[in-house]
Amino acid sequence: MSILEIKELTATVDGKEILHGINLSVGAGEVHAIMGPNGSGKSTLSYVLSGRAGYEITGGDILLNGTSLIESDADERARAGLFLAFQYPVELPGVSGMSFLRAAVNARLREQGEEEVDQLGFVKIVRAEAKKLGISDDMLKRAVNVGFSGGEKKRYEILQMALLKPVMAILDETDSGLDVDALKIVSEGVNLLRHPERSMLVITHYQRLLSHIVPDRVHILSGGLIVKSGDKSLALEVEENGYAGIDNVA
Amino acid sequence: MLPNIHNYDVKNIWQKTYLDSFLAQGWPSSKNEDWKFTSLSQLLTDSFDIALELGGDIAEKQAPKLPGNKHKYSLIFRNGVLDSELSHAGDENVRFSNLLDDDHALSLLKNNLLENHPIFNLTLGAMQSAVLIDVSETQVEQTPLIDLSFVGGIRKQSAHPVVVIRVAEKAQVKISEFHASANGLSAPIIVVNLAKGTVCDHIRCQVADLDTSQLGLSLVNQDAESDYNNFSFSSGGDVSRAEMHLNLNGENAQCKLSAIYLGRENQHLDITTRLYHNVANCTSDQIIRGVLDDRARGVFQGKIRVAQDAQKTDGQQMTRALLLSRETEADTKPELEIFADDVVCSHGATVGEIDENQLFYLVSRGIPTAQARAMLIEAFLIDTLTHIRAPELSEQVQFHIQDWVLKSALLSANNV
Repeated sequence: MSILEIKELTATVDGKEILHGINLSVGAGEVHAIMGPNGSGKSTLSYVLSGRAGYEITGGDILLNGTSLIESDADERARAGLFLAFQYPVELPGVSGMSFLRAAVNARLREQGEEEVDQLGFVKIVRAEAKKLGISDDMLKRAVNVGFSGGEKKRYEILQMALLKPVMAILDETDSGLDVDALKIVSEGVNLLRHPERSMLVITHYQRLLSHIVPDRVHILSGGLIVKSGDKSLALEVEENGYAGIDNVA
Repeated sequence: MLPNIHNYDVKNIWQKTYLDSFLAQGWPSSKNEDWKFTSLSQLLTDSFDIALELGGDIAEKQAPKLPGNKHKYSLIFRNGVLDSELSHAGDENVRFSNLLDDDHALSLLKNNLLENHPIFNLTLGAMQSAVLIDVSETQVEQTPLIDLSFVGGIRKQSAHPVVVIRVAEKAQVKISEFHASANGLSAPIIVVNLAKGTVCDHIRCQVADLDTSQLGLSLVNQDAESDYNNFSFSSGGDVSRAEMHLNLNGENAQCKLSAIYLGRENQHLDITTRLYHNVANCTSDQIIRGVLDDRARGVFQGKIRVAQDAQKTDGQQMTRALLLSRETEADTKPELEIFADDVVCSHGATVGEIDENQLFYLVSRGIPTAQARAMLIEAFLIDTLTHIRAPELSEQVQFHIQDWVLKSALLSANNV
């Protein structure tokens, strides 16, 4: 069964239709990539999936584990196991990183009917995960994303993903703004989180991320539609010929 | 409406001058520049009798929650009158006496040139309890804590207590004021006189019921090398004004004033500061944060006056308001009057709403909307709270903030 099933999805932003009928199915443990030129609707798709206000679904359906998400708010979708790694993680001055992470993890645990983690136990868990991503204790003590470099912000997104253990993770242009070394660290972090019960949708403009996070399927999004799907070689084709060289790309 | 004082007899004949002056001018209207945004003639619609004796029980929620301190001196005012049975008797370190018996202390109060100030005139004319507290330099391990509670009170009466705290050279003291008076109008005057080299941490917490009016006046005088840290929290009262006049009278004195106001429903909350740099080489730093919900209105007026001889003054002021509803209003009036030429002074003001990007980031992690809003409101207030130097005094305030924020966040989440 598909973990994520997108059916004939249409959506508008400010009354303008951006997605014109997306169909996509991601199986358990699979990693799919969505590639596309600027303005093709990649970021809109990630916001629509995560339930951001202002991104209105006008038709079709989104199913997570067979359950429709379109009536659920963003926080409910997250607690159901959906995770969005932001292209531009948001700075939260005055919000302590540790209390933010714990609030998020406990919200998910409550939803699953499990016991919440106490502060002391939680700090240990976070430190262990942070270490794998090269995140320092000093970074963990700071306010959320405040004073972080571009690479640190992206690693912090992956740390959140590791702690929240989503069934479906959407990585929105996680490679943007990363230098070669940072891209390697982030990709390794993501690869560590690949799991038979965790699917991923990797949204990217460039092929370079996909040589680190190797996808099972690649889809080309153009003009609000998926115009072509294939295996990882499709990404190489884009690299070689550009989007203009792909059939049906607007 | 004016207080009902035709049957009222002043205790001392000199008080009559103040009362007459109050009656001649009445409550100020918005035409009075100092009351431009807080027009008492419009806001105060009830009439009161002057409270003359102890009255009104202390509700449990009105009791202050302060941690234990071996050197804590509690004074409890009920209905604006000192309840000596519930209050500490004082000792050689912190001495209590009747203000009216001490000419010097009385002059500290009367010498404030506030002849046109309605609260100054009314409370001086109508005060029942006037307490003088003398803090001497002590050798005790813990800094003495003076705990002033204004609680109980009768709704149909107005309370006018006066406390003068005189801190001797090099002495250190902590002051906690807790205002939860049930009087229809509570208008206390607190005077803090800091001699050379003193250190004073002062917290004021006003959490009275929303059908009372709370008009407090604080007068602070700082001598050379004194160090004053004040934090004021207001979330109570249908009309609330926390007004402070602070004089920097000796060189190398410094003060930090921070304030938080939280308003909901139809509350009108006013923070007014008057900061007088009278001599050279003093620093002042003010930081004010307000959160307004429903139809509440917030006012901040901050004057910094730098006298001609007050060179090398450093005066900073920053105020920010967070509006949680479209029907709120925040008014800010900074006033810088600078007569010296070698000074560093600045002021800034912002008004904003909860940032949708920040809110989405939190909820996208599964944090429920109400909790996410509460986290952002608390984050907005946090740098004001870090100004508080005496953490044991801030616990009580933090409790009230969390309570307010959670309620506000839950209500708004339900309305979305």
